[in-house]
Amino acid sequence: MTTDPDAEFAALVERQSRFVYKVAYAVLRHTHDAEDAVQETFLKLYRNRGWQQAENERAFLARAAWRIAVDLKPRTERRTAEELEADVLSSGAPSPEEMALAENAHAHIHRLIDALPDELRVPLVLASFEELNSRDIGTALGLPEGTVRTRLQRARQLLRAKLERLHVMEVGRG
Amino acid sequence: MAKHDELDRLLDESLSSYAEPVHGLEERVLRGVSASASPRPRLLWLWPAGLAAAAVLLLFVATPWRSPLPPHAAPSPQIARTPAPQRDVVRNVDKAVPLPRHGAAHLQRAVAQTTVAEQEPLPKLDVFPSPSPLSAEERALAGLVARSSAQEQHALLAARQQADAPIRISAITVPPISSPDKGKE
Repeated sequence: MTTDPDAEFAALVERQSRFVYKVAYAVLRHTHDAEDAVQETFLKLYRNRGWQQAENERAFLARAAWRIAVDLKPRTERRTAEELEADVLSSGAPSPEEMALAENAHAHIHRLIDALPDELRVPLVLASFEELNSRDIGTALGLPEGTVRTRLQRARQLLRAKLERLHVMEVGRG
Repeated sequence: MAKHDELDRLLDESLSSYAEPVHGLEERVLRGVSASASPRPRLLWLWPAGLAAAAVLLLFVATPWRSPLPPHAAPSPQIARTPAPQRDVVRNVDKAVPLPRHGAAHLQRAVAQTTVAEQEPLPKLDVFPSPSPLSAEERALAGLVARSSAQEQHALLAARQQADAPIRISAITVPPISSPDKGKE
């Protein structure tokens, strides 16, 4: 067991930075802003060492990252359409034309997830981690457990419906 | 139902690969945190400079700045206890040490001598206020009284007492005016 606080913190970053990034990205939908949120989250954690007392590390980090991302959101909402387009290209995500050509199902679905409203998208992304149940997600987002479940069902229904429509269109074209 | 399951599986797969960060996120986070958390080396020299400036300021504020002779200085408790001889003390100082017009050192020396003079107790007077010698007019009047006879002295004393006594004025009575034609009728 390591006792060096910096080593402990470095281990935390190694362990959870991807998770924190996903939470931030689910709110902000912008790679650079999501990285800024990750930096801010870990800097805050480095200063207050709050994760050491947390019962559920991921739930604690999800809440911290979500709050910071929500605080950053007004800044990202002011971003122009051109900047968003440039970010999509620089982040390595395929453009709609590329997606159409490659018929990349995952990229399609990522676009559909991005198009979901915030209140459905963030619980859906958090629920993709096995360690987080509806209660943990509710704690992180400040929602009742029942509300989280309802939103998860609605998100999945919406995505399924859109995917079915896309499938019908592809079959029709074929 | 099979189609439903397939869509769910596709969704789960997509969610697991959703929002993947650019490679090297961990290193960037650690670098950013260490850069933000550690104090900037360029500003380290500001600490001793700031402390020195604060110390100088504190000394400036804490040091009482007194002029050698304040214009409205309160009298010392000793002078306040014996107000009457103060004039004599000042007179003694004037005679003993002529106050120079310039120079704080001279003034301080004069003040020190004044303090020494103040500490010596002055003799008590038998009669207060102290009698002063008679003027020429007073001496002439005293000679005149001494030369006059006893009767004249008594008369002079009576006149003095009379002059000092309050003036009594008798009540004024006005007789009623009678008309000269009244008796004729």
